[in-house]
Amino acid sequence: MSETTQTTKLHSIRFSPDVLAKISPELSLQRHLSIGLRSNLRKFEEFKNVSLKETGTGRYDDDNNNNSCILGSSIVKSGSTTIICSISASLIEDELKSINDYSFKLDHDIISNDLQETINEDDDNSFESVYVTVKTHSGNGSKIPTLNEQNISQQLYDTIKHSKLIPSKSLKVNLGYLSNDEPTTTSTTTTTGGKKKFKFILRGDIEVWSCVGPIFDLCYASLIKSLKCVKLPLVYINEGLNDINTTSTTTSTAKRDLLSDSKIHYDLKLNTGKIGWCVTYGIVDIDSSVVNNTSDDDAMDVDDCKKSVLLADLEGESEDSIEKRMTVVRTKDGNLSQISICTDGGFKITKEIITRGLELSKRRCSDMINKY
Amino acid sequence: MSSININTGILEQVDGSCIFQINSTKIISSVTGPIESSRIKNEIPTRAYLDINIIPEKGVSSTRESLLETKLNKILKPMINLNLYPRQSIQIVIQVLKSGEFRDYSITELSTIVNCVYISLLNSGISLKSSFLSSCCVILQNNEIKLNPTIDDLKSCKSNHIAVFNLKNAKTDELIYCDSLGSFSDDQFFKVLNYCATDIEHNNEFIRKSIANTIEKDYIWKFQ
Repeated sequence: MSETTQTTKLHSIRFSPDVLAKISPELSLQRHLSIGLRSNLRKFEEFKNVSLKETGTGRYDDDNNNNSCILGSSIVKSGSTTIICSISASLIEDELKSINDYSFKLDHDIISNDLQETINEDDDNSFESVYVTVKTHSGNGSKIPTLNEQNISQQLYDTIKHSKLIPSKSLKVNLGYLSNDEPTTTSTTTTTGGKKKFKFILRGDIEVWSCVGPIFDLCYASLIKSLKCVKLPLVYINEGLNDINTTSTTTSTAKRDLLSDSKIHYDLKLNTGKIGWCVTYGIVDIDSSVVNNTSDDDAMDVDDCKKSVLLADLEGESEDSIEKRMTVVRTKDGNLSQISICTDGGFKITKEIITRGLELSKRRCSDMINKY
Repeated sequence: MSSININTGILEQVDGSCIFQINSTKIISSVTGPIESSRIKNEIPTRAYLDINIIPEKGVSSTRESLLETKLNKILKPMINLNLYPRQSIQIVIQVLKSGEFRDYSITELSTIVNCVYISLLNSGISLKSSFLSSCCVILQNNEIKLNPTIDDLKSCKSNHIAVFNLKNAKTDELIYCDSLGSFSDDQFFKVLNYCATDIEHNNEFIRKSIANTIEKDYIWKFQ
């Protein structure tokens, strides 16, 4: 029996950096960070430039836009990412307010005449939020919101709600009458004193183009910028319809026709101290074992980087793979509005890293808050 | 003092289950797995896929539950030895029995879900990297920190917080997850983390005893 031996030579395969970032994003990230670089050539804690502008396409921004339902909008650009946010509003009957109304309770025998009950109609402690829909245009053609889009929408709702930015009384509708008596038609703002209470519900539509990383920060910025320029319409009851209602026996208030004025408007009042700026960091553990093939010169850098580092404004496929993240929303008054930290089971998240992240957020907030 | 009630192994057709009640929040959870993935796209070559489904107390699941599922996924992923079960799935189903808070909040729900799923995972025998528990608290208007808040505390609080720590030798070791919403200072945030860590250590004593009692009662361990 003769033995035949075959030797197979394995050749190492070389990939270009962009291909390696797709195949093994973690390895690509470690290779970059070990030599003190990021794939986008920014420093570890260097933020991307962000520009915020009003689009000027709102209902009250231009006389020709009277039929538009957009009450405030903004365009945010950062690198190749563009975000357009538009705010619209709906009117709903505030049932809770109506039920709490003293005259309503009196009519329905919920309270007696003798009861001297004072009902605080303007509950200063309640705050509202915006119902946001986020749409990322990624070229897949799907119209169904992805899980990431749903999560960002819900996170934006929660952040705005708990930051106490929009007081409930700002969205309360003061109903007025339309006066057609004079030749020059004007609307008056006398309150109706009716039992029905109405309020605005704000809806935000955020469209994201050319997304290259986490977009929560930019979506938050675009939403705040849009909210700052929201102009709410004056709402009034159609005079003719109101007369019919008073003379008719069927006093169905659902038939009331509420009209919003095409010219008269007022600004949405926000808690300006609660306006904030959001930053998201990736927390990366520099792992020296994956960079054994570095040259002797680079070994110095590796020794220096044997710790967790913060990466500001994550960008690209390799950085998008970082699961250990920290999101901070700091408000104008210096307080925090949101902190979210999650780990990936690697190195510990130390107090020093969190403190560093909070310090950076303070500086970033003071730089950016005036851009709104 | 918070009242905790734990009941494990109550479901027979799954690998692990638990009912966890803390104050007015009550959750039931089940863990099935590792099982064959029902979809090809869920077959991950290097690790198991976590299939989490949260069913709310009332109505159908919404974006709120989707966000809760994502948060729970972030918490569980580093805690389970997923690489031991490649191409398989671990199915976790959570039913909220009593929410104990308004729908605008989710801290007491998420905190109880984390604790409930941890015990269900122990009950199912799935390999864990370490023990982990969760705690939640609020900062009241007078800057007092209150653990395990009631519905009234949540309504009047300045901020609400949840923290998850892993445990080593019955002591909190590493921060796994935290989420804070509201208005609070940097110092208050670190104070809240310390409060939650202490509360987790305290709750761990009770939970360990409860798990030990369950194992003692298990017929497998009786040699008579």
